[in-house]
Amino acid sequence: MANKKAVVCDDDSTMRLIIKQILTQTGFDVVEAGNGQEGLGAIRSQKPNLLMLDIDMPVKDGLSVLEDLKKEGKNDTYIIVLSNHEDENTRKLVATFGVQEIWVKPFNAVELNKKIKDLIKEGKL
Amino acid sequence: MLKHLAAIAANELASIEMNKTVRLLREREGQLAQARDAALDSVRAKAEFLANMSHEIRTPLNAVIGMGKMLLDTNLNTEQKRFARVVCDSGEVLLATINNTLDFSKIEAGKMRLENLDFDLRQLIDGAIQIVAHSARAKGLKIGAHMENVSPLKLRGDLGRLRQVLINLLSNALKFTEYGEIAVHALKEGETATHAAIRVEVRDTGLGITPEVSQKLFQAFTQADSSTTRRYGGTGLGLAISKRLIELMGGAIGVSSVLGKGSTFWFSVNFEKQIERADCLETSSLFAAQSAGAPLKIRRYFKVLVVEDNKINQEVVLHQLRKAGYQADVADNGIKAMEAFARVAYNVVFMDCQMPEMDGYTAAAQMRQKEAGKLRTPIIAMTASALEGDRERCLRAGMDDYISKPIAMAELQRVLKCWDVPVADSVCEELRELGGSENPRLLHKIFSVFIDEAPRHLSALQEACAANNAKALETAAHALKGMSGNIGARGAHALCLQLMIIGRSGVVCPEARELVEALAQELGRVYDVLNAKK
Repeated sequence: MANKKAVVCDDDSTMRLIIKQILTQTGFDVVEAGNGQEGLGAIRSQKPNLLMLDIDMPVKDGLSVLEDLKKEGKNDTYIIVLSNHEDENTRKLVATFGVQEIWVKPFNAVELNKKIKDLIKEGKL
Repeated sequence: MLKHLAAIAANELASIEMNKTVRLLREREGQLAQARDAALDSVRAKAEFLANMSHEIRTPLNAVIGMGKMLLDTNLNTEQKRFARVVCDSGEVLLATINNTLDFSKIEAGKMRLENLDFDLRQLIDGAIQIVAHSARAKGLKIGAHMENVSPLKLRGDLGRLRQVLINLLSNALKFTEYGEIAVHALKEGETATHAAIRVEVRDTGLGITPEVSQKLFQAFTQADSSTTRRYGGTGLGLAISKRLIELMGGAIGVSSVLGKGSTFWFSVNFEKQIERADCLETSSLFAAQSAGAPLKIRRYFKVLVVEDNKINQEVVLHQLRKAGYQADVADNGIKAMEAFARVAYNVVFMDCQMPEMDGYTAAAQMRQKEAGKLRTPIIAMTASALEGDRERCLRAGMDDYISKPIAMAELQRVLKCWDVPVADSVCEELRELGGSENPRLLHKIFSVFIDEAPRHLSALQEACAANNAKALETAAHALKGMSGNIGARGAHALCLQLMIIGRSGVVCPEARELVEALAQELGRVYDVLNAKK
């Protein structure tokens, strides 16, 4: 069986390294994107099972990526948002786009690793 | 028939006797249980009494010593200075006596528990010497350390208790030496894959001791002779405590001496060797050289919160922190501390444990809940009670370290050195764990990317300041903040956060330039650590 696919969209390259590590060791093929524009391209071409999406990014930010995805209609991608903001507004805003998880940066990498494994075990990924 | 009746009667009698005996036994049993409970209660009460007394004595003593030291820092004439110094010295002596008595009763009650922490032998010895160096120099004595073929230096053991023993031996040497020198020698006596047997000697050129006396020295409440007590003071508990502590560590302690020539007090312990990872002691050693002796500048952008209800103690701690180069905010109780904690990203929190409204344990636990999953702020407990279980309670509440009151300057500096680190070890550990055996180079890769990319963001910040471009300032600060958070560079992270907020306000205020300057320095420290850890 082919590996599952993930797109990691974040302008912070150290963050991409960390997440890529988590995802490759849980069996994903990872495509990296440094901003929302690249991210959308990668999502369209890869049709990933999982999208890890930063909110504050240059060129095109995470929220407008979510808007575009919503416009394009039905989407099976499991979306985890990585945000710098933990306020209620961001949570609500992000929830309207069908985002399943929101992690506030900086987060504990070991915990995220555990979460991904749990999601796989629960059959959500 | 009669015979039969008699037999029945005898049986009855026997059973009545039997019942009586059983009843009596039950009664006795009940009395015994009561007596046992009473005894246990009294032991508990005694322990509690001791804990309370220690707290009650230490709190005002904290004020006496602290205020005395502050007084010494003001403009006094020679006579006033002498008086103030006597107040301080007497306070310290009283404190040492209380600590010794407490330690001794703990050991006697079998309640002394040793810790097993990573430590660096050279740092232990240098630190202990530093504490007595000033008095030694004042007496015209030379003092120094010689490490002979001692590697590994990274060992495991009860650092605090070892320091206590070493300082005890050093202060004895200091007390009984009028001319010449005091030297600490450390040497390795043997080594296996997991352990290293280390012998530490404190050699002086003092009075010396006769063999008869040296036999008695390590017994409790004994000094060389009773005139010693009159001339030199002390409880006569120091060596007895040292002996018991070293024996608890499975080691030996002793003395060899030539009358009139000097004495060598030694101890040897078979220490466990440290396994791999870098801990906070190691990181701090990177900066030990830098900070030792150099006059301290105030670390303006290192945010410290002191949570303490007692006004006098507040002043003492603030003063000590200022002397160590730190400015601090103060909160009177746990509730106010929580408010401050929510508002400001602190680099370290000093937390009193006993406070009205909300105590330190609750406040620390709530802080941990608030920051769940995010960068962990070091919380240092400050407590006046020195009894066993206290430390565990602090750690269980989510605190990271512990200093007892009255706070000694050297102890405060140790703690600050340990936690004022550019890169949090816990985060490096996480990343190392994440990489595991599959990707052992992960940490190296992440650090390399940081070292490659951070300078670009820093110059962007500098340019943004020069061009008064608030938007550019926000963008660059945001990028660098994220990366700093990922590697646990707490100080850089906090500075970037402040810059981001300034950028978002739309105006590049003059403070931004100072912050960028501070950030440049902080990044320098971060690069050093990353390069060392790669």
